[in-house]
Amino acid sequence: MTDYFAVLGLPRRPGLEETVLQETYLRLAAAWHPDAAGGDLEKFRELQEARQTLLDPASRLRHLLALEGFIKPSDGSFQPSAELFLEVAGALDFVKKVSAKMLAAQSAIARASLSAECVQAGKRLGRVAQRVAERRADLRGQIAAIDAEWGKSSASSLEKIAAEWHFLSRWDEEIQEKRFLLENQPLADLRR
Amino acid sequence: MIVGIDLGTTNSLIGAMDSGFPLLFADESGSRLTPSAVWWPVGGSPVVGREALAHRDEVLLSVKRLIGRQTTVGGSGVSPEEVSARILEKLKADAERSLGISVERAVITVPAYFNDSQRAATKRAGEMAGFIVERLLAEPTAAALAYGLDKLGEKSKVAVYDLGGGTFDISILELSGGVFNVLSTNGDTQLGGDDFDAAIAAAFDISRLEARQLKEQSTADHQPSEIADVCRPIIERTRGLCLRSLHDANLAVDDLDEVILVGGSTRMPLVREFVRDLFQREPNTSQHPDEAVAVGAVIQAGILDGTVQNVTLLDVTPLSLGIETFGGLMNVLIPRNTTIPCKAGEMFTNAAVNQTSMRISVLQGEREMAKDNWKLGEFEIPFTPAARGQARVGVQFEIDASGLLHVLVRDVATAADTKVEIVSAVEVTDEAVEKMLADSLEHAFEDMDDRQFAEACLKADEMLPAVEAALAQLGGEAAPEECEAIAAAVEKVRRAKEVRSLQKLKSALNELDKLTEPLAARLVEAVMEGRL
Repeated sequence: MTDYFAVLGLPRRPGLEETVLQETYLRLAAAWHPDAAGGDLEKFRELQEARQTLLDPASRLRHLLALEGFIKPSDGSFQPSAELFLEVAGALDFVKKVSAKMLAAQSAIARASLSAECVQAGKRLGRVAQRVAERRADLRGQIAAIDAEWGKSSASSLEKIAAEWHFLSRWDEEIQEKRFLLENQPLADLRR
Repeated sequence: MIVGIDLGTTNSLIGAMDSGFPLLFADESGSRLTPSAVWWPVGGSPVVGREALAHRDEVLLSVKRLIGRQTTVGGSGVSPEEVSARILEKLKADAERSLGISVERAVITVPAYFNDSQRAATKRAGEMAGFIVERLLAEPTAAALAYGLDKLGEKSKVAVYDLGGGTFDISILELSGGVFNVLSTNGDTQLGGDDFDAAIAAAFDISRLEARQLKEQSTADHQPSEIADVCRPIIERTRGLCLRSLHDANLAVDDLDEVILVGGSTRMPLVREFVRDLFQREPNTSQHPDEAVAVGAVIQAGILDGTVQNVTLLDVTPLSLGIETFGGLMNVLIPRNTTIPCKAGEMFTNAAVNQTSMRISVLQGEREMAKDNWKLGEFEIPFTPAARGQARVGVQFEIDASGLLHVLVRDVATAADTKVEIVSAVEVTDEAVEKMLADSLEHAFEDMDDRQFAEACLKADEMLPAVEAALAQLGGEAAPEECEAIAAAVEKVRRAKEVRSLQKLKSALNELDKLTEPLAARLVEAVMEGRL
C-alpha cells in the first residue's frame, strides 16, 4: 500500500493543518506536473490521490490506521447520534418538499406565497449546519488531543472518529448544497 | 517553436514567445484580430477574415457555437471543424509570414466549459489546418496566466469573468509561487455577445449588424435604458454560474483578491456594473479584453517548449464524467473540478454466461438522470467466454491535460490493455435529427389544445388562491388602483375558465402574472424582513 503521508513528505500522524497540506501539495504539483522539466505523470496522479486522501479527516485517519496495521472493524459498526440524525433528515426532507412545490409553481405570486416556508426551510438548514459544524469542531478537538499523545496512546478511538466524520461530511455536503439552491434560486429572482 | 492561438467566436489571434515575452502577430492589414468569418463559394476556395465579411449574406460566422454539436453549418454542407480549420490555416500563414519560418505545433484555447465532444472537434480542426495540437487550454485559465505572469511571487485568489462573443466562463484560481491552481470553473457555451445582438435586433426590429453597432456605440459612455432592459436578463444568466463556481471553490466573495474581466462583451458598462454589484468590488480591467486569452495561450506554448519556466498550470475538468447505470441514472466516476490530468477505474463483469460484450454509454454533466446529461458516445467492452460473473474487464477513464477523454480496457485475465474508440453521439446524420424533430412536432400537434388548456387551468388554480392570500396579507399597502386592476384580471381568468377559451385564459393569466409581480416581490420582501 502506498504511504500517502510519505508521498507528501508529511509526518504520519492523525492531525494535519489544511494550509500545510495545500502548500506542500502545490509545491510538489509544480515539480511533478507533466509539463514541468522532470515532470512525471504517474507521480502527479499519485500526488492527487494523496492530497484527496489526507484532506478529508475520515479517509486520513483510516489510511493512517491501515498503515499502522490496525485491523479494520466491520462496516456498519458505527451508529451516528440518533438525535442529530433525525434532526438532519427531518430538515432535508422538509426542504425537499418545499423545493418540489417551488419547482411546480408557475407564477411569481405562487412562488412568493411559498416564501414563508422557504425562510423556515433556510432556518432549519442553518440550525442543522450549525450542529454539524459544532460536532465537527468537537471531533477536531479529539483528533488534536490524540495527535498530541500520538505514539503513547492507543489508536482505537480513531476508527470511531473516522466513521462519525464520514457521516458528518455526507450530511454537510447535502445541507450545504440545499442551502445554496435555496438561497440562490427562485426567491432571490423574485426580489430582484 | 510552439504558437498560441485564441480561436474565438467573433475574432481569432495567434502569437508566440519572443525573447521571453508573449508577442501577437498582425495580419497583412496590420491588425492582430482576424474576424472568425469564412466565405466559402460553391466550387471555389474559401476566403477568411476581414475580406469574408464583405459577403454579408453568405459569410459563415460564429461557427464556434456549433463545433462538436452539429455536423454541418447551416445549409452550407461543410462541418464546423472544416470552417474552423480554414480560420486556423489563415492564422498559421500570418504567423509564418511574421516569423519567416514554418510553424507546426500549437496551443489552442477553448471555452473552459466545453465538453469532450467540443474539445475533440476543436483539436480535429487544428489537425485539418496542419497543426500538431500540443494542448487545448481553457480560455479563462489562459487569461489568468496573462494576468499573473508578472506577479509570480504573489499569493492571491482571483476570479476570471470571461464573456466573449459566443461563450461565457467563470473560473476561480489560487495563484501561489508560480502555480496557477484552478479551484472551480463553470460556464455556458451558448451565451455571449451574439445573444445581445439577437435580442436587440428582435426588440427594435433591426438587423443583427445594426444591433451590434448600436450596442457598441452605446458602450462609449452609458447605455440607453431601452438597450439595457433588453440586455440585462442575458447578463443575469451569468449570476447563478458565478455563485455556483464560488460555492464549488468553497469561497465567499470576500475571499477573492481580484475579479478579472476578459472577453469583448465585458466592455459593456452594464456587464461591469453587474460584476461590481455581484462581487462587491471594482472589477480588474488591466487585461486587454480581446487579447488576454491569446497572450495566455502563447505563455502556455512557452511552458511547453521550455521558454517559460517556473510557471505551472493546474487546470480542472469542468464537467462530471460518468456512465449510465441501471435505472437510467448517471454514475459519476470523475467529479467536476477534478485537477487534470486524472484517471478513474471501474470494473465490469459479465451478467450472463458466455456474454461476449457489454455496451457502455459515457456521459458528461451534473444531472442525476443519464438522459439529462450530454452523451459523449458509446463503446463496447469485450468479454472472453466464461461463466456468469467470471469474465472481468477493467475500464480506465483518463482525462488528459487538454481535458480530452481516453478510455482503456484491460482484460483482467490476460492483463492486455486496449484503447477503445468512443463512437460519438454527435455524428448522427442531419436527416435523422430532422426526422426526430418532425416526429415530435407531429405528435405534439395532436392533443396540444386540450393539454394546453388543462395546463392553463392548473396555473389558474395555483394563482387565484395565492393572489387572494397575498392581497389579504398586503392589500393594505397596495394602491387602490393596483387592487382594482388585479381584481379585474382575476375576474377575467375566472370567466375564461368558464367559457373554456384557451386563448382568453392564456392572455388573462399573462396579464394577472404581470400585474402581480410587484405584489410577489413585496411579499417576499416582507417575509424576508420578518414582517409576516
